[in-house]
Amino acid sequence: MQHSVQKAYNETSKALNDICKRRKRTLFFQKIMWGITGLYLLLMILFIVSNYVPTLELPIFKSFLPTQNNPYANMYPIAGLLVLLYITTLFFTRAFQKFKLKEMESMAKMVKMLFPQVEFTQGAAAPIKEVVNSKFFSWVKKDTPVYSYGQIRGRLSNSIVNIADIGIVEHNISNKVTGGLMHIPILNMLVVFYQYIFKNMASNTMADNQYFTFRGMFCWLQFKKKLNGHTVVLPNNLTTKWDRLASLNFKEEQRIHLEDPRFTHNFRVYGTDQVEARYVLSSSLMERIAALKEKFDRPIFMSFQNRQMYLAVLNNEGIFSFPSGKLDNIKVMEELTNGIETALKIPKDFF
Amino acid sequence: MQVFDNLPWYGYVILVLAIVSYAYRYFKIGKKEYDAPDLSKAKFRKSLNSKLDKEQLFALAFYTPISEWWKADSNTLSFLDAKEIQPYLEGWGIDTPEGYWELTDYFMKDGRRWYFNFINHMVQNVPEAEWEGLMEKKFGNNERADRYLRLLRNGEVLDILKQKGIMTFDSELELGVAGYDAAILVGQARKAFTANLISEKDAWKVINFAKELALQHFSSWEEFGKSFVLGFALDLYDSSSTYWEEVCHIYLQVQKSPDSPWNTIDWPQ
Repeated sequence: MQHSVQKAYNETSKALNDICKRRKRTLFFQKIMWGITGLYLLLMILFIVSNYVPTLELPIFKSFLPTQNNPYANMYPIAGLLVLLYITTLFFTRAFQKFKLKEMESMAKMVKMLFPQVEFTQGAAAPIKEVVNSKFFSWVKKDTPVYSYGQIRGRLSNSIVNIADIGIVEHNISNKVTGGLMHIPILNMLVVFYQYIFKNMASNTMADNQYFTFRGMFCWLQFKKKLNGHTVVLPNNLTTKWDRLASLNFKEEQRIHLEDPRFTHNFRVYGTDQVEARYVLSSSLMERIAALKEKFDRPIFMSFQNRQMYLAVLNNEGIFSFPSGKLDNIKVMEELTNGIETALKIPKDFF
Repeated sequence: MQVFDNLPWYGYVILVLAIVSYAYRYFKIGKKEYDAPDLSKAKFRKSLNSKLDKEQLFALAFYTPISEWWKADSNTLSFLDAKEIQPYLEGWGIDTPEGYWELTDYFMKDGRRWYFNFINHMVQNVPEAEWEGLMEKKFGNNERADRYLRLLRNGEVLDILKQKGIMTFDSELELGVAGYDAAILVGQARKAFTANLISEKDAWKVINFAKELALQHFSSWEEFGKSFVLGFALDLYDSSSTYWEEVCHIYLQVQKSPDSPWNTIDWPQ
């Protein structure tokens, strides 16, 4: 495999450098665009406030005070900013499109070189049915926005493994609170400033990857055991706990307390049947799940139901998008290979 | 109105631009809404008088996405009534027994497979420089062949079906369009029987041919469905009517609904 990785890197390193430059350019326009939007909003707020607080005499307003000869002088800065906003949006959109096209093209080439035995697709609809069936996400419904950045289908040892890179925007507790704040005057302005302007200006994340509540790998494959209910293994953290408690989507579930301390330290288990959950999660399977988590070195989710197994691995950068930062290192290629290879080997390693 | 008297010259320009832009958007949205496809819910209507056996129902089910669009029963050989389908028969030139048999003969022997198999193979395996010559030699001046080439050459049809969640991988193109040909044979036999152009016996002969054609090519409803929708897209995606969008919407329901014949009748193994 190392030979293929090296070969793929040699053949795509030029394209990777180009992608890196395009990303920088796109991020630059993204920051400028949101900066101007911020200024525009700020100016609008100051105009509104100055109407109610006449004593507020800001030096910026003095040069734009309306006079008899020029009654619309205070509109100039706003109109100017609008024109600037239009131009920067145009630049940003063009740069973003070119960057994404190049990224998709290079990724398709890399996957083909590294995994010639699998099928790879881009532009296909996200596997929403499978995402809902997996029961990983407490707030996901059939109409929740789910985006796909690519999907692999591999046939290994008589089993089909599907691997998709997905992004989900769940209406979870955090988004519900934000949505609530948007209804409160003044506070909603602050939310807009933080959520859209500050976040887009301060972070090095692309605008399309900014608001996902989950981004990463999502796999589904056949499971040997026939099950009547479902068993879900989730990362053991507070967010998962509160989301599961607050959601009404899984009323039939109960918490499954298992005895393996290494496993329970890392995972929370929910299921419809205490006995079935123990039948699914045998000691050896729990060990393999814990080992899989260490291999990925990221939070993982697993669920089992009706001869189907689902796996999700949180990866904010995505698996079929290049990570932020420099790409002039073979590590980029190795990470992509390891993630996909580990998932493709699941049928062999697990069953 | 005094406000408008005091406007500077550029104020009037902005005002006019705003009014024109609003009017343009208003009429544009109005037209869009008027032209929007009628996305109806599939009901899988059934006649209580049906006496068809499982094998017959299986073959009739090929035409389900289109028969649902027509709001026809899914379990009878007859299709609505003769008056309702007359414009369709005239449109296809099959309102006489001769016309019907001529078209049926074409769909049995060649159908859209004739176009698809040749063009898809050419696009996949032959250098682009040779396409024009090959197309001229095989099809001459043929509008349908040109459309197939346009939709297949850059994967446009595949992209459309991927975005709709109907297809996922490029390899699914290999399923071909035999499913579409089989469905058309079934649909036209039902309509010709209803219009008294052919006997019941002949209608079942054609439908059985379509069944054999589908069984030769596919091993599941999923494969059949993808082939059907691929042929349907190549034939109708470009048309100006909303028919394509509407049937596509019904197709997704036929595929997923537990009441659909595709989910209640097993594909023979």
